[in-house]
Amino acid sequence: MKKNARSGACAQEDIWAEFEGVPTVEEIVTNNTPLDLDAAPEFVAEYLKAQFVEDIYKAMEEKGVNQNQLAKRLGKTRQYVGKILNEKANFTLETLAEFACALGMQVSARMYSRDERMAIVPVYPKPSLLLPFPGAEAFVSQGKQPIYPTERQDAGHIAA
Amino acid sequence: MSIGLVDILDVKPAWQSRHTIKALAKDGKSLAVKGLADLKAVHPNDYKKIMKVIRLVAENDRVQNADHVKQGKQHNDVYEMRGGQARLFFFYTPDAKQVVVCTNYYWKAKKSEDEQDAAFERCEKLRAAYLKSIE
Repeated sequence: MKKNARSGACAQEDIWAEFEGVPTVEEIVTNNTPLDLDAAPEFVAEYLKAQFVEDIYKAMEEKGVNQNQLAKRLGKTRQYVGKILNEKANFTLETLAEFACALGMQVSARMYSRDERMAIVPVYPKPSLLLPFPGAEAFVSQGKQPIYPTERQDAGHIAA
Repeated sequence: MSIGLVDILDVKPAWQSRHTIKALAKDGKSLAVKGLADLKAVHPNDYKKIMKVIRLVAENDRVQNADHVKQGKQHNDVYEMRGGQARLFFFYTPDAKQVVVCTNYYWKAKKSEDEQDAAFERCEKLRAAYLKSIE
């Protein structure tokens, strides 16, 4: 009752009342020593774990897989999966690979400069290069390196 | 009265690939920035935990792990970041700018749903007031 009466009486200007007794952001920044969290291995490792778990949740939702089904695919117990999802277990590269494969996903562990950013982009099939000589498709479909017929007039066009 | 958004200490531009992280400020004062600065000074481990969650929010469309981010029960447009006992409340701007606005903060000393509900309520009110101010 007390709480309802208080929130009911909360006028628009009361929302901002709490801001009054607070120092300005400028003052706070001046008195603060910046912390470079990206240089703290413990922070980076905890973040990587959390992001990997986030990716597992996302993949489970996309693939319509629940924890039981994931455990079955991994050949592990539901408790093990729960431990990973709670970020309680130690992750190894094998753990990442196992979960990614069980969910039909790719996984990457790359190192790059701190002024770079990694992006995940969809893969679009490349337009097929049809080589203008008989039987060329066979080379492409078999995954072999196509042999460019240099004597032909259009060889320059293909190579370009 | 000037209402605006300010940067949050120690949040790196490189983290903000999906969402830009900002704090709500009135006349250059911010409850979220003040709360995080206090947390950093008093509970550095919980500060790192909440910063980890800020990074997750910045780098993902929506964080699905409820251990890190919880949506309001009464108000669906506001969320709570959880790092140790620290709680930071925020909302996503409804436009295409993809900004996360952190509004208020509290330290969860004991399990109290009333305190949490009140913090969600405050976040929702600040959200409404901010959106009205940019109309």
